[in-house]
Amino acid sequence: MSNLLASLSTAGHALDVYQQALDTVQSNITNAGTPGYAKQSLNLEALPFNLSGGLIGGVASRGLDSARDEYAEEEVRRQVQSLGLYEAKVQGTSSIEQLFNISGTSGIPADLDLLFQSFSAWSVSPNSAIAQQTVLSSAATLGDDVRQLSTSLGATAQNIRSQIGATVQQINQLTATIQQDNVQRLKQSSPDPGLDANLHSALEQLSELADVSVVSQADGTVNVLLSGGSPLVVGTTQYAIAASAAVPTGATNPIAPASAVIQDSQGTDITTQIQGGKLGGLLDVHNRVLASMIGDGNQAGSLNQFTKILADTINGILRSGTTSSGASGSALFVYDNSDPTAAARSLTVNSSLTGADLAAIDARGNSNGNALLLVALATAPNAIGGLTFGGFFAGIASGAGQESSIAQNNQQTQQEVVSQTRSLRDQTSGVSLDEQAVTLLQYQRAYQAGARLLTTINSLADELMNLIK
Amino acid sequence: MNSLTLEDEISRHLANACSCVASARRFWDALDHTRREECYRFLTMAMEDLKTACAFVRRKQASPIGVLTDTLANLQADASLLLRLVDTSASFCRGMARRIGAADTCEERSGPALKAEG
Repeated sequence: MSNLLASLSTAGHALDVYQQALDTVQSNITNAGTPGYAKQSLNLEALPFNLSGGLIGGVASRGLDSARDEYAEEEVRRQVQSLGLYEAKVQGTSSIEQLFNISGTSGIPADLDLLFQSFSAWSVSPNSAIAQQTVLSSAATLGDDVRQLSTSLGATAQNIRSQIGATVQQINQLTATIQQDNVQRLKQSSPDPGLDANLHSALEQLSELADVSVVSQADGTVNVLLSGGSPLVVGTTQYAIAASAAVPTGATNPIAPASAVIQDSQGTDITTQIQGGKLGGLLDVHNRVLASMIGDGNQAGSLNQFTKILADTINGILRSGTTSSGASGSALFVYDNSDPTAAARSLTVNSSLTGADLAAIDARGNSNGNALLLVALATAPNAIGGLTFGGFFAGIASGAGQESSIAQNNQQTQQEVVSQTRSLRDQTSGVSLDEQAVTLLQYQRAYQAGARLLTTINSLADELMNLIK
Repeated sequence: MNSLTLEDEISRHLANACSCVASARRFWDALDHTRREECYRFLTMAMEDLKTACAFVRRKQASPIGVLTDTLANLQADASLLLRLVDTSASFCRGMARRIGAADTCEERSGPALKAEG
């Protein structure tokens, strides 16, 4: 009778265990689309069976195994972080590129052409009121467009700073989630797949925003640090970061446009630590790409440099001459000279100047000598930075275009890399170690063959390029 | 019937190589053996065409086809992207192998390139 009861008990227990196995499968199916969820499997163990020894066998559950492989997760996060970087760069540099007219049929390149054409017409008829007026109106149009471009670039910088602030807020929200997960984890005796999914989803989202490193602890919690070492989450403590805008201490121009700054929870500037993720991309566009055009605490910026040298050169020629009435020449352009980064946004035509005040006569008394000097500026090869004025501005515009093009190419490539790494993660995680080793060896050999072919093709293409150049 | 000039031959082989690398790029799938093999078949064809083109250019000993640099640049862009995908796949496998203690079964990256001379 006791044996019968024992058998019934064993069978009943086995049913419980298989119910757990079914629940596990059901949970896997239900969570197939849950971000961060890893497939679980129930460890089953056969119990000893020896009737003479009173062991009646059966099956027991030995807890859940997760298919998650932390290395594979880390690899995905690493690639996602690069994708975040490139996506932010594409967004930022595309908005800058759109402000420039690369073709030169409108905007500043066309304004420059019209100004030099007006100088040319004026040199033919230095006393023509129409020619003089055309010079003034062409100069005014150029001034308007330079100011407009500078203002638009400034607005873009402001927009990017807003995005930086929003991204920092997202980072702090995610690290708060991770900190809460750590708190929950410490309260539990065994891993919780739901909590684990939540944590890994937050970590993957975080890696898209910044270059973070994740260190798993023995107690099941994770520490999250920025790549430079600043902590974001350590155990059950969150360290929030903050975004601000300031001219760096010790900068040569304290009234220049502000740089974007990221501070750790102690207020220390950690901007340079952030090189990856969306935040890294936004910082790069703001503090490097835009600053190189509109300036910052340590540089005037190429657009201001262009404006100042163009205005100073034209003004210098006009001031050295005399008008038909014998008066000394006056400046055509005025701009705010108190701040090297203000030239472009303040460029206007001298409002007190009339057409008759334009000094066409040069120092030797030639009636159109000065006007001809201005005409020659159009093609002067060393007008600015070893280039013509048009060439220098084209360099600024094409620089913006190149930044955008490189970012787009990198983004497209990285999207494929991320997709591939996710597939590799899913394919190679959660299988037995032996099976995993065989699969990895097969893949490795296949990739090796591909790399050899591609290396050879690249060297042949290089050789051919050199031969036909 | 007109025979192909040397320039025509060079252009044809270069265009073939470019097309093959682009096809290889489309077929690449790190996890699909059949597609990967197809990808490598296209790469092998591209390599042969490039070798032939190199041989023709060397024989001509002149530089009349600068216009083909665009084709070559496209080929190099596709090859570079593909190499990045292959490299990240290999890097992933190396890391996984080390993690599970099977590093000794996996070989290092690409080994020497195949002989490039035509």
